[in-house]
Amino acid sequence: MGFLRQIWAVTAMNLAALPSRAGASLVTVIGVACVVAVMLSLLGIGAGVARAMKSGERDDVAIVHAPGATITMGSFSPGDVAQIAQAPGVKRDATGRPMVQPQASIVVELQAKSGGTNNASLSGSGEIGREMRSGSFHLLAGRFYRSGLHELIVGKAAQRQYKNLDVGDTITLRGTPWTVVGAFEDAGGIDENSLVADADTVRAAFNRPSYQNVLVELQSASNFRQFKDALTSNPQLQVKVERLPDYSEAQLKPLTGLLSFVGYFVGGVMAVGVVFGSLNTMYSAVDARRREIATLRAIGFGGIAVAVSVLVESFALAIPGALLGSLIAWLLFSGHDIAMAGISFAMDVTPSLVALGLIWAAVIGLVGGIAPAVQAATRPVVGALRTT
Amino acid sequence: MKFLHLVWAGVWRKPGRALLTLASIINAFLLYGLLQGFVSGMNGTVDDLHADVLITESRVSQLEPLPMAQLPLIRSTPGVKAAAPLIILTGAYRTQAIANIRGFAVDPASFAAADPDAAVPAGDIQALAQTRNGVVLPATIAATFHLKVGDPLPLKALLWTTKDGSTWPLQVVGVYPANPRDTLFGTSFLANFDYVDQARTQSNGTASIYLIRVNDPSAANQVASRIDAQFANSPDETKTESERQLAADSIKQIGDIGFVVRAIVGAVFFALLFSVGAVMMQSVRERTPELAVLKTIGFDDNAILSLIVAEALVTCLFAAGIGLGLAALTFPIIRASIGFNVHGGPVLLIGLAMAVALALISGLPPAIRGRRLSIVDALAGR
Repeated sequence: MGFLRQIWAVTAMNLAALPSRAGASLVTVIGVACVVAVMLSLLGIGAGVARAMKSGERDDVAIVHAPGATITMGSFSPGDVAQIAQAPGVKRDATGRPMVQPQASIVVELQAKSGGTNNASLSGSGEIGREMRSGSFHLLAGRFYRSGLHELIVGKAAQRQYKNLDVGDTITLRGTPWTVVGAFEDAGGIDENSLVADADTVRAAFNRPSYQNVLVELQSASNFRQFKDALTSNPQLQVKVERLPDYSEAQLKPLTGLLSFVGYFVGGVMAVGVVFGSLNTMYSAVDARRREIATLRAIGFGGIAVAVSVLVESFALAIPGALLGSLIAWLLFSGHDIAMAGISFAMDVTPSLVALGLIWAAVIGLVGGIAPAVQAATRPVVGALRTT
Repeated sequence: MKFLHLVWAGVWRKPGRALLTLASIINAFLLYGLLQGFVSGMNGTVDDLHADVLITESRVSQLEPLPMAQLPLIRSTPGVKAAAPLIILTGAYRTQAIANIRGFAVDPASFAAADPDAAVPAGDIQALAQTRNGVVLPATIAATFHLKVGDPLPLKALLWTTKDGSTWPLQVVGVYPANPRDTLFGTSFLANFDYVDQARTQSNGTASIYLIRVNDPSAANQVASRIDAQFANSPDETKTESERQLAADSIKQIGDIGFVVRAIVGAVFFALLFSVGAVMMQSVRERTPELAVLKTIGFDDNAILSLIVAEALVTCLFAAGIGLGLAALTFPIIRASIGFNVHGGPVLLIGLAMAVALALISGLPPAIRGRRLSIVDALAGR
C-alpha cells in the first residue's frame, strides 16, 4: 500500500509542476496532435469509402454475375434472367412477381463542374430494383423514369459533381438526348454517384445484347446456399453468385487497402519523428528535475515510483495530444465530401478510428517515456545532488 | 567560416539531444521527399509524353467499344501517318497480386507502324505475329512475376471473358526493355488483336481505342478534330485527344493528391517547428553563462545572434541533407516499380529552402534572446 502511495505522491507532484515546463511539454502535445490528425484524416477517407459502398446493403440480396471478367459488357440474356428467377429461394412480391432485377451498367463521360470530363456510371435498373432498396431510396425531386423513354434520374452526389444534371435538363449520351426527370438520395451510398434509367432502355440505346448482372432478393438470408447451389449446378448458366455485401466488400478492397496502407505508412513515419521529439522533451524534463528526483530518492522514495511518475507524465502529454488531433480531424473532415476516382463520398472519422489514434498516442508516450524513466530511476543519488 | 568549429561544437553540446533532434528532422525531410517525389513523378509523366500521338476513344466513355469500320476512315484522314486498333486487355494475373497488370491486344503490323518510340523491338513484334496466343511483356512485369519466354500467363481480363468462361491462356513469347517514360506502352504487355477479338464473348469486331500517329505534331489538334468530325452524329461518336491531355485527365480523376500531400507535409513541419524551436530555446537558456563569457571576450551582440542562427542552420541543413538524400535513394525504386519518373531536382531544392526557413523561424527567437543578454546579469545568473 505504501508503495502505491509513493507512486501517487510523486506522480501528483510531478503533474502539478507540469505548467512550469509548459513550453517544452507543448512540443509533445502538438506533435502527437499532428500525427493523429493526419492519420485519422487519411484513414477517414477509407472509412468513408467503406461506409458509402456498404450503405443500405442487405444480407438477403444476392448478385449473380459472370465468372472471369469483373466489368463485363454484358453476360445475361433475358432467357438467362428467366432461369435465375425460377431458382429456389427467390422472393416473390405480393403480385407473385419474382424479386429479380437484371442490370445493365454503362460508363458514361460527363462534364465535371470542376472542369474537364469524368467517368460516371449510368445504371439500368427497374421497378423491382427500386423495391429492393425501398428502405433507403428516396426521390428528392421530380419523378421516376419511364420505361421505353430516354429518361433518367440522378443521384445527389452526381448532381453535385457534374454539369447539366438538374431536373428538366437534357444531356446527350451516344448521340441520344436523355431527359433528367428526377433526383434521388440513397443513404449516402455509392449509388448516389450514378445516373439511373430503365435497364431495357439503356440496353437498346447502347446496343447491348445482354444484361451485366442480376440482383436477386431472397426469401431470407438463409436461402442463399440453396439459391447459389441451384444456379451453379445449372449447366445452362455460367455464373458466380455472391451476397451483395460480400461482393461490394471485394470490389472496394483494393481501394481501401491502398488507403489504409498510405494512412498507416504516413502515420507510422510521423510517429517515429514525434517519438524523437518526445524523448527530447522527457529527457530534458528529467534533466531539469534531477536534483528534485535525487532529493526524493534520498528521503526514501523508490526508483520505481519515480520511473512511473515520468511515464505518467509522458502519457499525460500524449493522450491530450491524441484527443486534440482527433478533434481537429473530426472538425475539418468528418462528413466532408471528397471526390476520388470518380466517386464522391463523405469522409468518416469514426469512434474506432479515434480509439486507434489514442492507442497510437499511448505507444508514442510509452516509447518516448520509458528510457527517460529508467534514467531518472537509476541515476546515482549522490552524483545528482552534487552537480549544479 | 572560422567560427564553424565553434558552431559545430554548439550543435553537439549535448550529444544525446543533438542526435534526437537530428533524427526528428531527418525523419520529417525523408517523409517530405518521399511524398513530394511521388507527386512530382505523377505530374512529370504528363510532360514526358509524345506530342505526335493521338488516342481516339468513344465519346460515351473509354470502355465503350468502337466499330472497326472506323479504322479505314481514320487512316485516310489527312495528317494521319499511321493508326492501329487496340483492345484494352488489362487484367489480373495471380489473384494475390494487388494491382491489375496493364496491357493491350494489338495488331502487330499496324502497331509497329504507329508505335512512336519503337518501344517494342521488331523481333518481339515478329514473335507476337507468329504465336496466336502470344504475349510480349515489358521487363518490369516479367521481373515482378518471374516470367520468362515460354512461360504460360493465365490472365483474368477485367473486361473480356473467353467463350468457355475461363482465364485467357496467354503464353510469353518476348520480353522487351521497359521504358517508364512511355506511360502508354513502356509498361504494358501486348497480345494479339485477332486472337482476343475472335475469342471474346462479345463486342467482336470492335476496338477499345485507336492509337494514331500524326505527321506533324504541331497540327495534332486539327487532325484530332478532323477525325471526330467524321463520326459526329453517328451512333459511335469519338473523342480524340493527345496522349498528354489523356494522361492529365486521368491523373485529375484520381483526386487532388497534390493537396493531400501538401496538407500532410504542412502538419509534419508544423510539429517539427515546435520541436526544433523548443530545443534551440532550451539550449540557449542553458548556455546563458557561456554566451556571457563570449560577450566578455569581445563577441558583439550581432556575432552572438549570427552564432546561434548559424547553429540552427547547420543543424537543419545537415539533417535535411541526410533526410533528402535518403529520399533520393528511393527515387529509382519509385521509377522502377510504379513507372513514375521522379523529377528530383526541384523537390530537393524546395526541401533545402524549407530547411533554411525552418532554421530561421526556430533559431531567431533564441538568437534574439542571446543578443539581448546583458553581460553582468548573465554572469550573475539572473
